[in-house]
Amino acid sequence: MAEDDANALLQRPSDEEYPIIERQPSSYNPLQTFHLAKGDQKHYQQQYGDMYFLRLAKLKPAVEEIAAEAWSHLKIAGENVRRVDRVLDVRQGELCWVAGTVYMDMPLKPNILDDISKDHWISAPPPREKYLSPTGQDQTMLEDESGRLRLIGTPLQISMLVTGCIIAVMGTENADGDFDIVDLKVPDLPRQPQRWERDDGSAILANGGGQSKAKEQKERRAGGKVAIVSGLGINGEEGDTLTLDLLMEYLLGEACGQSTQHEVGKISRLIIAGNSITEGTPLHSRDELPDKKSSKKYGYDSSAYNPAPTARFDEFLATLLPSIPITLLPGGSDPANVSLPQQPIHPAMFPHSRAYTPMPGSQGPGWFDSVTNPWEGDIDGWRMMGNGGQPIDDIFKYVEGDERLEMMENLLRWRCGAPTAPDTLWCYPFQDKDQFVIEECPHVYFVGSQPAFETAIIDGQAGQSVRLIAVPKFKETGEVVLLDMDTLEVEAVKFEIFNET
Amino acid sequence: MSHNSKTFLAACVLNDEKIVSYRSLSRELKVHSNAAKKMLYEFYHTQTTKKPGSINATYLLDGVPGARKESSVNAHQRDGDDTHIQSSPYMSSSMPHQEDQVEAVPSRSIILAKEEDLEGKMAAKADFKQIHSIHIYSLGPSRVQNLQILSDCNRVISEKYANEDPLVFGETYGIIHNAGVKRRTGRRPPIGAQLVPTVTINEKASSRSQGIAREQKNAVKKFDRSSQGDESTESTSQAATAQDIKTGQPRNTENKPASKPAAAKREQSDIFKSFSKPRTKLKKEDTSSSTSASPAPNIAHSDSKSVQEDEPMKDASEDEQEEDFMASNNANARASKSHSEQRAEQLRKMMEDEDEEMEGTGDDAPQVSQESESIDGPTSHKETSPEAPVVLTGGRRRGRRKIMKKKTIKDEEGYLVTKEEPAWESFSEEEPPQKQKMPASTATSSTGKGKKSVGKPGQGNIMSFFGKR
Repeated sequence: MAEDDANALLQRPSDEEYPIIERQPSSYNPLQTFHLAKGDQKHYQQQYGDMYFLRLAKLKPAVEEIAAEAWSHLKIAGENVRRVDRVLDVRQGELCWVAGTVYMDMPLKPNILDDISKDHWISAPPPREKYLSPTGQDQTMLEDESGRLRLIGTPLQISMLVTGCIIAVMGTENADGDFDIVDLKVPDLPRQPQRWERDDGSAILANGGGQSKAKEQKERRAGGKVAIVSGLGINGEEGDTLTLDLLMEYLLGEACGQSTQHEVGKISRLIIAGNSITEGTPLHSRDELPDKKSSKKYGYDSSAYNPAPTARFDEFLATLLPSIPITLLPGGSDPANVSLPQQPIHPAMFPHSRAYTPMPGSQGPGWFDSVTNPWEGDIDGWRMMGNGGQPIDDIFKYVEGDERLEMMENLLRWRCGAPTAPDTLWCYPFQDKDQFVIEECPHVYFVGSQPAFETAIIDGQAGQSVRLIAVPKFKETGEVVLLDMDTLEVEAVKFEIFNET
Repeated sequence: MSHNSKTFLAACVLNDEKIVSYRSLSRELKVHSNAAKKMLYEFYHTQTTKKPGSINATYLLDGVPGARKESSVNAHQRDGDDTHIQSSPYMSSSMPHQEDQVEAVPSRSIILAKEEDLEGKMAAKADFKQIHSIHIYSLGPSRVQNLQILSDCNRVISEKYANEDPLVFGETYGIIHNAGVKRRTGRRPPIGAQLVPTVTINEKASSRSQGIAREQKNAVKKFDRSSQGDESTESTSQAATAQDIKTGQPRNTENKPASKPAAAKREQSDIFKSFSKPRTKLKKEDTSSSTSASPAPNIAHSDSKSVQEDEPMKDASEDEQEEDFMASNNANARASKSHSEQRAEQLRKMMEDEDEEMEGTGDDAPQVSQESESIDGPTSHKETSPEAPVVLTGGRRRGRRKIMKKKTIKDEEGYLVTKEEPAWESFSEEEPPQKQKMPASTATSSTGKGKKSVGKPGQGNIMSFFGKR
């Protein structure tokens, strides 16, 4: 029977009627967390130091609560562990615990002051794969607004730490002035909303509660699937886009047999997590600039700008959009701003797909939703959070190994969506609030442009459960991740061309 | 319908020797994609029974990949990706997901294979544990060497059927229907205009992108080689300007290019060639000297550097901010306080001068460059470093230019705050003041080397503008 199914399309045409497959609707309710103010409201005059202050102010109570619970009645060698408010109040030889921001002092980390004190005209050295010093010159510091402590001790070796995360440490200051830590605590996962919580809340507000809820629930059919893809890497050249075509045909429900087409009908949304276009190094080095200038032209300059990648991407989107709604996150190589949070790619880049964007000024998300990176929002009631990969790629430079899932887990447990910003990751100088602090634990955390597809579930103290998904680069692996919106199970679909040489 | 498909396929594949995919067939005949797949099969079947090997098919397989596939894929990835090997494995206190990592994730594989790769032990079918479906993807007249060619079918579709409303025709082709689709009602973008350039670029893309890189590297050389009308006229008119100035005659832009375009062009290229090399050398000298020099001379050097490089406005302003910072440092260090004051004075003067200059009455620009001798590099630098953009500016007939105006204000706390404000300013060569300025500066700044020195009069002024800061 299975054999018959498989070969169903290797038959002569019959008068068979092909039913129209309906795509599962997607309940979509994005958050505007990472949208920056527009125009005059957005400026870059502020100091980045405020971000650290805000982050510490926000996360210190959380980590102190956890630390107090663990350590407040703890006695080590007959000595009570005492809480210390500020890093500067730590006294030598006294067993205590204190909370602060981690700062990694790494000689290989890029340092703006070094650049200036040397020769600022020299072109930048190639970016390092890792900042870790092979000779062990790296130091871990704990700082707050009062001062800085150098940390030593075994817990440092077994836990992942990067600049910018907020932790509490317990130990004593030794004769060298180093703080020898016995234990450390991180803020851990924040509260996780219930499924449909936000949608229910707004529904109740809108309808005054009561019977509307039952109706809402009815509309929530069994959730479909969400396809997540990253790193499409369109470069506008012919010759390597066939897998992209296969992906498109698959998602449209044209490729494969009927059973597969029905399954594809359950895919209710496509999320593109960054790096859709390879073209485009937005920043030119100083060496290039003078030459560029000599060919100065006003307006469109075809020698400096290649429209093919965006045109090809637009075509891809415009073909898919009639059938499936798309959420598009920008990534490092996309035509958006470079610093996090990257703002949505402007619909003007997509002359064909923009018909599916909402009318300016209208309410509600568009069918084609060009969003920020990082992004969070509710899909089928689940809180989704994702980014184009930059925060994880930057953490990777700080730590040993290449355990992407572990980095993702730690990032959530630090409650900081981009801990290494603004130190080594470019970001907007937030002034009133560090938007990267994770206030509500997502159900799904996906990160784009990772070296390989990986997934795991992590659990929190308060019953939180998060599905982590490292989404590989489609261009390299041909893989798309399907996330089941009922069970949060994942599935990988791989597109290949056999024996490609 | 079946008859239609046969004639169409015969015409396309056998006569025109084109590749037909199930998608292009379904578009052509307005049938469901699954029907099109069957038509392809039927045609393939009849043709190969008639004459084996006359047409060639590719297949799309869909199913659950087998174990062999999995392992080989993983091994391959390891090879490629692990460039950075860590000495010791990283251990974590909290790794609750360790078991999960080995959790088998259901996967599905969709493979496009040539017909000869379909069967056999090492073939595509053997990669699957279970095959959900298999169908013909495309038919072609001969063996396809590179399957990537097949993406051409989709490109053709997107061009040929671009005028079809996908919401209306999607159902015909079996595209999964979505009731919730929201689309703006406005007009759709002009398709022809968009796609034509796309296609041509696609074809040229690879050579083009290389070309861009090359262009950027020797943009100077590009000037003599490029046959773009714009630039050649500009350079011609530039040379014409030079001649006019030399002979002191009012110039007539209209007929000059026609009279001696070729000669002018060659001159231009010579100028660029001769200048491009010395300039880079000078840059190197400066860099090396500035690294070893003490802070105060450093300023001077970076000044001269900015003179040479004549970078975009943006960089010049960065430079200036840095210098403000350094200058204040110097004042604190009381080493060169008078020097910095002097510089500030000059800076202020410069600002005034510059304003006048921009308005077209910049007679005192040469003076400024003399005043600033102590800071600027040797005068020869200025002379030997004409810049293309400025040269072009000289040759442009009319236009608007964006200038950054600097305003320095003292804020409430007593800090000096420098603000840049972009402003547009229109200028025109027909304007007499601008023209008169050129000979004036030529007289003072040139050492009378004939055409070469005449080539940069407009530039000398702007150079000194950068030099001051």
